[in-house]
Order: sequence, then C-alpha cells, then structure tokens
Amino acid sequence: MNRTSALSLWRERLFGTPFTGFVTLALAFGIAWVAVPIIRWALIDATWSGTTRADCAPGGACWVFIRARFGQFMYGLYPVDQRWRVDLAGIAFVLGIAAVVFAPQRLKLRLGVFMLVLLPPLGIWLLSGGFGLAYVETREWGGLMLTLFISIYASLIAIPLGILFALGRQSQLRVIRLISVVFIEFWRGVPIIAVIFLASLLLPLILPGGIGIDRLARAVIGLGFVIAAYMAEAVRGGLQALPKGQREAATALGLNYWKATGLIILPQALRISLPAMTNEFIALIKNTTLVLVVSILDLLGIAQASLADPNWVGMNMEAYAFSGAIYWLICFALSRWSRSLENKRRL
Amino acid sequence: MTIRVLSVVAMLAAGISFAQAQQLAPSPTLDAVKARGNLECGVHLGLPGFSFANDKGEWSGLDVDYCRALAAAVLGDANKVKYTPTSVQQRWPILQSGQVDVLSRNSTITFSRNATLGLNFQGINFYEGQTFIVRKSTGVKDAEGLDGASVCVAAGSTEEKNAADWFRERNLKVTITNFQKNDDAITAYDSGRCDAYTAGVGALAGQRAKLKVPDDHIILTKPISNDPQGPVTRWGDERWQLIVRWVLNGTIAAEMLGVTSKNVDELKANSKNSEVRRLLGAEGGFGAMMGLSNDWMYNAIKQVGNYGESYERTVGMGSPLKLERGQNQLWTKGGLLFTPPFQ
Amino acid sequence: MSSFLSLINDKRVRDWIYQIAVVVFLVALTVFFVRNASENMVKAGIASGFDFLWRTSGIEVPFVLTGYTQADNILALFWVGVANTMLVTVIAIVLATALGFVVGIARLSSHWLLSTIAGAYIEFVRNIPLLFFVLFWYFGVIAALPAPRQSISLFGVAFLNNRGVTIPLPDGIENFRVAGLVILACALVFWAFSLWARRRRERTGQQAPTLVVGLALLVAVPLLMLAWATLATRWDVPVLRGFNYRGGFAVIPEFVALLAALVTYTAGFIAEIVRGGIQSVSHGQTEAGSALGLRSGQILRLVTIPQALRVMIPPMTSQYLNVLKNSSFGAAIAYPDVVSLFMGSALNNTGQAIEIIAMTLAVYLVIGLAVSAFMNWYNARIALVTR
Repeated sequence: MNRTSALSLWRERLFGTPFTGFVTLALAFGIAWVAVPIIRWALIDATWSGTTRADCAPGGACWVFIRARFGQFMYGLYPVDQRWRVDLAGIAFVLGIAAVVFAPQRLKLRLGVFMLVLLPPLGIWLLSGGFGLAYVETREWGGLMLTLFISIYASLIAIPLGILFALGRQSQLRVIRLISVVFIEFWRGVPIIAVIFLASLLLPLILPGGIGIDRLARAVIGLGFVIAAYMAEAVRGGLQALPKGQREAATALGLNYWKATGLIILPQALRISLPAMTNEFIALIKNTTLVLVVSILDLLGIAQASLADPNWVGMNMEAYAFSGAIYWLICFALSRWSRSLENKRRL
Repeated sequence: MTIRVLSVVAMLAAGISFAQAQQLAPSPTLDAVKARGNLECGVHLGLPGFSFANDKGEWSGLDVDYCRALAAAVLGDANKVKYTPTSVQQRWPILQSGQVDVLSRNSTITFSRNATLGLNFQGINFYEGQTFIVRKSTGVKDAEGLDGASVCVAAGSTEEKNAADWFRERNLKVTITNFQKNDDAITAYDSGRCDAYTAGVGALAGQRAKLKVPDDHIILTKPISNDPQGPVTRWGDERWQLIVRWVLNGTIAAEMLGVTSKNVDELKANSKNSEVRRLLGAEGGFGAMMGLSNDWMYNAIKQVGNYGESYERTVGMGSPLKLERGQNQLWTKGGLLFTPPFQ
Repeated sequence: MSSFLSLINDKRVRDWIYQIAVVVFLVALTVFFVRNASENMVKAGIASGFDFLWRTSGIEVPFVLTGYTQADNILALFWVGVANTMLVTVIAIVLATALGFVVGIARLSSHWLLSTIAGAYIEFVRNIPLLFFVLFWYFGVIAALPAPRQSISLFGVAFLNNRGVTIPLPDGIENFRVAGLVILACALVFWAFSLWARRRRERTGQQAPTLVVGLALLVAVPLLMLAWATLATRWDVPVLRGFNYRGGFAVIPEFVALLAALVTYTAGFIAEIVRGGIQSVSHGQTEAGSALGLRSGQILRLVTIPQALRVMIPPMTSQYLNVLKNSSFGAAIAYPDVVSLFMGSALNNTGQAIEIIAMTLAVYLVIGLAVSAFMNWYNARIALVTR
C-alpha cells in the first residue's frame, strides 16, 4: 500500500501529463549525457592506489596525485613536524566557537568577548611561532589552512570596521555620513584582484621607509578593507530594519549615542543581519582564491603550483576537482547555516 | 718598553680602523642583512635549472646558486638565504619596496628598466637568447616559419616585446597571447592554444619538462635576440651594489683562475698567484674594503663553487637541461664571460 | 567660562567638533601617506607622473576593438583594455540575465525534476569560487576543442576550434549602415504609432493592432534589411592557411571562456533574485488579476512581472556591478582586459605602480557609477507611483 502510493506519487510527479513526461525524459537524457562521463572519470575508471603517475590508468582520474600531495593541499609547505600546531589552532578555534554557541544565554556575550580577545592572538602564536615555538614564516604557509586563515583574519578586520561604517552611514553628522558613503562605495566599486595588487604594491610605498609588512598581512589587510565595505552594507540592512522607536526609546531612557547603540541597537541589528553577514563571509572565502595573483599559495594556489611538478604533469582536472569540492563543501555548509538562521528569524 | 710598543700598536690600530671607518660608506642593506642573519633573495616562481623548489621546499638552480654565494660571502653560510618567489609582475615592486635585498631571477638587462625603474644590474650571470618551442609535427625549423602562428608568452617580459618587434620588422603576422605567468603560458601552449611558446633558450630547456610529452616538441636553435641576465639591486646603497657586483665577478674570476670548491683550501694556503691570493683573502684585505670578512670569496667558492661548477650542476651537462656553455663560456675559451681583475 | 561650558554642552557644537576632528585626522593621514610615498619613490629612483602614457607601448594585443597597433602609445593600450572590459561585461550581463531568468523560473516550475535540477544548479554555482569556473571553461572545455585543422565548421563560413571562433567579417559596412538607419526609422515609427494607439485607447477604448504592426516594423523589416545587407556585402570568409584561419574576425578563446564563466556563475545569483522577486508578489494579486478577467499570460505580463521587477532591480544592479568587477578574473587566463593589459603588461614596462593602479581603479569606479545611475533611473521609472 505504502509502496504503491509512493510509486504513484512519483509517477504523478514525473509523468502526470504527456508534456510533463516529455520534459522528464528530455531532462533525464540531459543528465545522463553530462553525468555519466563525469562519474566514469571520477569513480569507475579512476585509479585510487599507487605512488607515481605511471600507476594511473589513462582515461580516468588519478587520485594517487591527491594522496601524494594531500599534506600540501592542507598545509602548504608548513614543516611536517610542526603541522600539529595548525591542527591545534583549528581545534582551539572550533572549541571556542562551540563554547560560545552552546553556552547559557547569560554567559554568551562575556564568553564571546573573551574568545574574541583570546583566540586570534593564540592562533597567530601557534601558527607563526615564538615564545618557545619554532618560527614558521608565512611564506611556508599554504593550502586549506591559509584559505581559512585569510578568511578568518580578514573578517576580524572587516566586521568591526563594517559595523563602524554602517553606523557612520546612518549617522546624523553630515561629514561622517559622507566619509562613510565614500569609503563604502569606493571599496564596493573596485575589483578585488586590483585591491590585492594595490595592497601588495602600495602599502610598502606609503609607509615610512624601513617598515616592512609581511606579504600575507598585506593581502589580509587589503581583503579586510574590501569586505568591510560589503559587511557595512549587510549591517545597514539590519539597522534599517529596526523601527525608529527603538533609538527614540533608548534616548528617552537617558542613554547617550554609544550606549544606545551598543546596548539596544546593535544587538538587535546584528541578529537581523547575521545571515547577510554570513553570505559576505562566504563571498570572502571564495575571493581568497585571488591572493594567488601575489604568489600566496592558498588552496587553489597550491593546487595550481602542484601542476608545475614535472613528475605529475597533466593532473589539472584532479587538482581542480579536489580543491573545488573542498571550497564547495565549506561554502555550502555555511550557506545552509545562514539560511536556517534566516528561517528561524522569520518564524 | 712593552707598554710603549703596545700603545704604538694600539694607536696604529685605532688609526687604521678610523681610516677604514671613514672609507666605508654606510650600507643600510648590509647592516640589515647582518642584523637579520639571512639574505632575502628574490627568485623565479619555478624555472627548473635557474630557480626551482622541490616538494620539500628546497631551492636549487643557477640563480639560486648566486644567492647562496652572496649569502656565503656576506654571512659566511650559503644556507642563510630566504627565497621570495616572484612573478613577472611582482619582481620590480618587490625589489623597489625593499622586500628583498637582491633579485636573482633571470631578468633581462634593458635600458629603460635601468633608467626609469630605479634598478641597477650588477653584471651578467647568463647570456640568454630568445627562441621558440614548437610541436615537431608542425615541421617548423626556424622562427620565420611561424608566419600566421599563435604564440604564447608571459606578459611584461622582454620576450613579449622582442617577439612583437621581430615579427613586425619581417612583415610576418603572428598572434601573441600574453599570460600572467610563465606556467600559465606553457600550460596553454601544451593544451593546443598556441602553436609556439617563446622564452629564452635556457628557460625553455628547463620548462620543456613541464610538457605532457616533452619529446613531441622541439626548441628552435637560432635565437632571435640576445638577453643578458644578471642580479639586480635597487638604486642607492652603493656599497651593497659593490658587494653584489663583485661576488658575481668573484665566481667568474675563480673559474678563470682555476679555483674550485675542491682545491680552494689548498690554493688559499699555497698559491703563488697573487690574484688568487687576493681573491681568497690571503692578501690585500679586499673583503674588509667592503665591510666583509676577508675570506668572503673563499666561503662563497668553498660552499657553492665557481661559476663553471655552478653552471654544470644546474643547467649544464650535469643537469637534466644539458645546455652547452656557448656564450656563457669564459672569454678565453670563446664565450662572453668576463670579469675585471681583482687588483 | 560658563559660556564655554554651555558651548561644550551644546550638541550641535559638539557634533561639529567631532566632525572637524575626524576630517583633520583623515587629512593628516593622507598627507602622511603621500609624503612617505614621494620620499620613498625619490629614494628608490622610481619615475612618477603621467608622461609614460605617451611612450610607445610595443605590446602586441591579440584582441583589439579600437584599431590599436603595437606602434601606438600606452594610453591607446589603456583604451584597448577598457574596451575589452566593457565588451565582455555588457555581453555577459545580457546573457546572464537571460539564463538567470530561465533557471529562476525553472526553479519555480511545478515540474519536480526541472525545479530540482534548477535548484541543484543554483546551489552548485553559488558555492564555488568564480576562478574555478574561469579555469574550467578555459583549460577544461575550450582547450578540449579540436585544433585548427580539425575545426568544427559552422555552415562553411565560421570555424570553431581551440583558437576560438573565427567569423566572417564584412569588407565594407555601408550596406549595414543603411540597414541600421532603416531599422531605426522603423523603431521611431512604431513608437509614434504606439503612442497614438494608447491615446486613442484611453480616449475611445478602441484597441489598435499594435502587435501586428509591431511584428512587422520591429521584426520583419529589420530581418529583411539585415538579410539584404548580408547578401549585398562582400564577406571576408576565413580560410585555413598555415597554422590558423586567415581573414575574418577571430573571437579569442579567452573571451569565450571568460564570458561562459561569467554567465554560468552570475546566472546562479540572478536566478535566486528572479525567484525571490516572483515569490514576493502575493498570490492575491494573481487572483485579483484573474477576477478581472485577464488571461494567465496577461497576468504574468501585466501584474506579476512589473511588481516583481520592482523587488528585483536593486539586487540585480549589484549583480551587474559584480559582473563588471568579476570581468577582471580574465587576467588569470590572458583575456586582454584593463587589468591584464594595463596593470599587467604596461605596469611591467613602466614600473609606475601608483599611477597605473589609480587609473585602473578609476575605470571601474566610473563605469560602476554609470551603471548604478542607469539602474537608479530605471528603478525610479518603474517605481510604484502613488496617486
């Protein structure tokens, strides 16, 4: 009974009318035409075990290449015996966020601020060394770890700056408003690839001679500024969604601008704009791929660099498919999370 | 008595060191290198034979050897080098903004670079000649045969302009596609986007290994240009420029004089040739004149070898590239390599 | 003293103090940066100023719309880059909008499989960096096309191979100019006719055969004129000689790959905007439309789409601006856009980073402002007019 009803449901869905049936068949044919060669390449004809290119069967994917290079895809050229530090930083980060998410409501804010103060310096110390740990220079960082590092630290610049400029754009003060609008529209108007160039070429020039900024830090600062402008627009959405009465009520209670903003306006506005901010964070992760124009080897960069190895010529598809899948998994998970937040708010 | 002798010696020493201190111009770059304890060297992203990092991140190649020799001369240890891989686009800004102390990245010496970019070229460590790699199946024998072809090249390189000029002068029509990186250009060539890829003879010999089937391709033998390449510094800090120039000269002089990494100890102790003795710091105090220790070139040759040893190991017969010395032979043996005397 | 205190306590005065402080800080920061930059550049011996724009460029560009040759100056090279950026942006916007509408409407389709596939496409496209699309289309798809000798021939006049598409080029454009003028005239006549028809309808309620006249003037006549111009012109048909096709106009594969990447990627975002826009029109509107006796096509055209457009315009604008900015990804595959030609080749030959980056950013800001201005104007035109 149950099965027949499911069957008839599907028959109704796919072949309800002659036209529906025709569309179904056409689509099924199209899917088969696209998907069958891909599945054959990636799974059926693929080689999974071995050590060199010679072990791979022609015509299928050579996943041996990914196995051989897996460490580099994850950590770049980070010294093998120090990689536990990257893992530790990652675990600390995940635990920190989990602690904040699952903490009881009244502790959340305090714990969040505590983590925000504790985690970023801890991460930098673990990754780059000093105070008892061996130094690992940023030029040895790479792969997925670098992608996540850039995304997280650029958003640490972008979120506070974005909030500030979103407030500035809503401000009563004309000059502040003008400056904020110019800042936001400038950074939103220029391509990120140009900004990364700008940061890597111009930052050393405009600072007093002798002050060197790390190459990676320059890329993070550049990305941070651009994303700040996008974050500002996301936050502005939240600010505008709040009824005007909120600020008026706060002012009537005798709170000054900063207190009203910090205690009444921002907590509500940020909750509203969290999904939009998450989307900007996804965009940021996707845009980290552009750091390869200044020879910083993030996940995609390391994939491309590995293609230059004469021992593994012609692994383009494998490298791109693998790194693309990782990007997709991360971004898809985040976008699902953002959507569930949005739905929760709507209910 | 002894006190008087000592005081005379002390006065003399003070006088000498005072005179030396006066002679030596300040060198912020050298001071920075010494304080840092390592040399920052700009190299190519990955060009087998010239600068290439294996999967453990260890660099090797002719340009890398120069960095090592410089580090040995300045710091006494050839391993105290930090390499900054640079793309065609980034190399000048990275040097200009002081992120590297020297750029050793098969970059061609040209007038306008020297005149407008604030760069100085400190000699020639490789005479490169631009040529093309083509598929054997096309049957092309020389560059003239490329009429109508598509050519891939790295954007911003001298090859980009050279090729355009060369074909235009001969009224040949080619389509030149400019890629941001050499690796992108060669991947595009390999995938059939272009009929030819152009770069220097030496660079092509190394990059050929990056093709899927290297034996299907042939490098045209007759070069269309002469592209001398060597280490580059930025303007200012003359003493640093002096060091960079004379370490290169020293490696060439060592080959001229028959000093190798094997016999350097023996020659330093026993050589009767005073130029050898000056080169290795046994007399003359040449290192001190630049603010280095007097065994600067001894260290460089002992740890890295002379120019000829370097060449054979990285691009010559002892390497997969198997390049003849050709123009990069000493002038006494029919090549172009030359160094002013160590006097 | 008390007057000073009251000044301090006056909110207006305090606000001005804040603002002046911020401005002074910003000006000081700018002066600091500019002074450092000029000092550093003098010390490093880097040339400055815009003189370099009049130097001969010497760079060969494979895809030129402006008549540039390598003997021209660097300013001409700059305009080549700008033109190429605009070209790919405009075409990508048109195609991405079309594809985005198709996918967005498919997503709302009642056909389960169709809407699932559209949904999967959207989820796939939105969560992968654009650079992957660019590299995939360039190295995965275009490079897999046959070599020139084995080209796919399209009716014997256009040829598709891994060097791109070679299409015939007219020897002269006089006939096309005539055709264009006729088409323009038809459009004007139609515009006048529809104005007249609307006036008459509003006055008398009589319907005019706008559709038939429109088809004749806007479709039939132009098609005829174009066909005539095509036949009357001598065409330079590409011929395989030596390595490549000679003659005709070669659309380079970098253009095709970048365009395909921009369109497939952006369509995923536009589809979501279209879906959101259509869903935002409440069901009551459709019901009200059918209660008025409108047919379903009319409801879609007269009720749903105009209201949906109002919701869609602002996010669409930002997507169009994204296409403009994303066209700079062409630098990764040697598409000669302004970033690749000017910030790449020209920067390398002149080394004048500050001037070149400033000019490149200005291009994007100016085009971006123009696009937003146009979209704002359009938005204002279709905005809800409350009477």
